[in-house]
Amino acid sequence: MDRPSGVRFPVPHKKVSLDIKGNKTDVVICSYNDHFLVIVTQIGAMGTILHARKEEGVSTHPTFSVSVIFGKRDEPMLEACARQLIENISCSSSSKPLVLSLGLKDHSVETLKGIVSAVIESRLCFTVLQISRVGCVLLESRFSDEFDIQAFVRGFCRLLGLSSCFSDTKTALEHY
Amino acid sequence: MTSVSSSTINRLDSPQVVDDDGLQVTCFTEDLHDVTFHFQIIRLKKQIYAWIGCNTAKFGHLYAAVPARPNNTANVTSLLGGSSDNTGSSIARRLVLKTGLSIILACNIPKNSPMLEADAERKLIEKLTALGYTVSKSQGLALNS
Repeated sequence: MDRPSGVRFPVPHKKVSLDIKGNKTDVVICSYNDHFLVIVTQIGAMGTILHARKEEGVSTHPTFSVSVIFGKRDEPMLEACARQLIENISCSSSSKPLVLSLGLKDHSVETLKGIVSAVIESRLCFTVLQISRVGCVLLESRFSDEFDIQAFVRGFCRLLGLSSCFSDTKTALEHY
Repeated sequence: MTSVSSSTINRLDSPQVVDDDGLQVTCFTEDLHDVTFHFQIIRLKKQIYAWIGCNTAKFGHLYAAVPARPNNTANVTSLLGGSSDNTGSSIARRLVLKTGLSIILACNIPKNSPMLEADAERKLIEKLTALGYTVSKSQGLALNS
């Protein structure tokens, strides 16, 4: 069945291949409505699968919970990797949980740091730009690995003398 | 020490296979009657990850299914989504039997919808066969490892 052209597949994904300590590493990041999925593999399989999420709470400092749902349950480095990623991808409004799969040849600190930085560089982000308080332009950037798009948009706003720039839709809507 | 050797950005509004010596990603959508199914297939060397979205892009329940040696059967376990709703677990089991590989399946088909499950499974297996990921019945369960 033909779909209307220009209709995007609802789950954007990004695939990256990199070298970490001599091991070819494939990374796939998918963004579902209510979850992020990150697959990191050096062994041709998903390996250990972890689930990480931000806890709902009243305190100002968010807490995160990480658990292994499949595979090695005695590797603290894997949990630390998941924790770093969920802390990084969660912001005040968006708190999608993360499913992380790590199929690695080694669990050294260097490898896991390499993975965390590769994923953070590739994360999906959305930016809302307000213009003259009349309307707002949704500047959608799905892949921010070429440059820091949020810094770019803020600089752009300052140049034009715009009054506000919000980094996510929810905060922008709350402003009104 | 890390270096990025290649990167692929996908704008997906048509079925697409990204060919690589490692990982292959296929995304496609099928409109059936009044339901829209979205499918994602990620082929790893020794495993297949698949996601089935029924109208929405929610992640759904997650299952792991592996081949079990005697009698060419498969074992399925639920990883996310609780045990009261097993929608999708039988799909995962049959994917193992068709491909001979271990399967990680995410599926958001609502519970008590056997027709939707059957339709989704049929479409997914059609695509897996077209991609060459399935094994024929005469080969039985080819246990690749």
